[in-house]
Amino acid sequence: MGAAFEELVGVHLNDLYGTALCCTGSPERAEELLCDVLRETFHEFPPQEGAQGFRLWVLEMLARACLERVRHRGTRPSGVAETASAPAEIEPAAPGVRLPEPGTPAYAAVGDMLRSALRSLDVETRMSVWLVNVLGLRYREAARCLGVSVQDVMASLARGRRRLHAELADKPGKAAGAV
Amino acid sequence: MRCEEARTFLVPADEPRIADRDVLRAIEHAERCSKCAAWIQLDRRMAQLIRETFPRDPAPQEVRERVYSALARERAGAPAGVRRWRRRGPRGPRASLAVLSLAAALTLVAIATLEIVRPGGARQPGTVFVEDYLRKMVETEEIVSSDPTAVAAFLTRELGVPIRPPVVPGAELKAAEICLVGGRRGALLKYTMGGRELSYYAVRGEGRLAGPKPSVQTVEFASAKALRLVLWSDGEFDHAVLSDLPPDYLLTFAHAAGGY
Repeated sequence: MGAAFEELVGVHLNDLYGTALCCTGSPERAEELLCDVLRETFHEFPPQEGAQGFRLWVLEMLARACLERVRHRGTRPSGVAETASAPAEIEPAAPGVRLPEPGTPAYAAVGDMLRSALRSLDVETRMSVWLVNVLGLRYREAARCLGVSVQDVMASLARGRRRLHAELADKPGKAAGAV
Repeated sequence: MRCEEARTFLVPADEPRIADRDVLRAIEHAERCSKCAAWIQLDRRMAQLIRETFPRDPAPQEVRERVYSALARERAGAPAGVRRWRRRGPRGPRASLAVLSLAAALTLVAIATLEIVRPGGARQPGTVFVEDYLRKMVETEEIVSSDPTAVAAFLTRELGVPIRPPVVPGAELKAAEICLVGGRRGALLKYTMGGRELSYYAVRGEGRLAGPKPSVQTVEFASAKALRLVLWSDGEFDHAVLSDLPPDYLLTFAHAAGGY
């Protein structure tokens, strides 16, 4: 079982580290969290999950441990549930600003800006954006990882994208305006 | 339906949803409302922008190593029968032998480097493989197994990419190590073939070292048997086979390992 676990960790390690980094915001804390979670889950991986289920299972363990630590540290999360029923949250922040077109230099250069903007989001929102938009999880999978409802994930994503959009809009010469 | 309400049903825009009555009303609204249509389009573009441009850096090598060290410690408490990989190195009475080996290896590296310098001064592409082959006399992490599945598992977890040992008729897998070639980590697989040792390298590359067709080079040593080297690249990995076996053996191995 150990060899299989380690092989699967090897296949998904980049995504796991990226998730820990996204959640903690610190390479040191990300590494510590990742090692702790993998040690704790080493003997717990249910064989019935198989290789297909491993990624989602370990992402869930990682995300939940991470959120717990972040909350325990006292970082005030602005809970996704608060925004789920708040239609005003889904209003665009800067409706007049365009995003860079695919294939343009501004489009290619926007990645680092997005990374910086992602850090400014609360932990649940940035985890939703990371899991769905970057790692490609389905909403129900992201909801399972974060321990919230699908509606919460959707609201969180809408809010995250709106804020990322606003961040890009604030840098007209670099991304949003350079169309 | 008001714009704000419609958007709650349609956002995020890039996920299939059950077309219930509210969603259908929201879609109908968006088709008539240019502001909502533009906003939904913007949301879809934002998702695409994140998906396509967000940097996804690989886990640093030190993180990879610490993770596997942590798992190795966990495995140390695992039930018997779990295969372990070991760190090889000079220990106890073997230390002096290892020091001698190191000196010999460094000498050979120097010789090899000199011997395969082209007349014009440029080093042949295979030099980096020869250096690592010689450096392996004194290092590092390895798994001793003839089980291709166990070796594949070891390589996958160490390198983060699935590498399967070639199964070549007449060649017996003995062990695998992690190598460092030109600053790139890769796999070194050790075989015996025709009663002699043969080393096979697979290192992530960009096809710069060799072409797709395996080609044989001979590396002459001042005081040792000539070493033969077969190089090829499949675009993703650079491959090398080294041995003092005759060229036909190396080419047979290379062809079975994917070179053509």
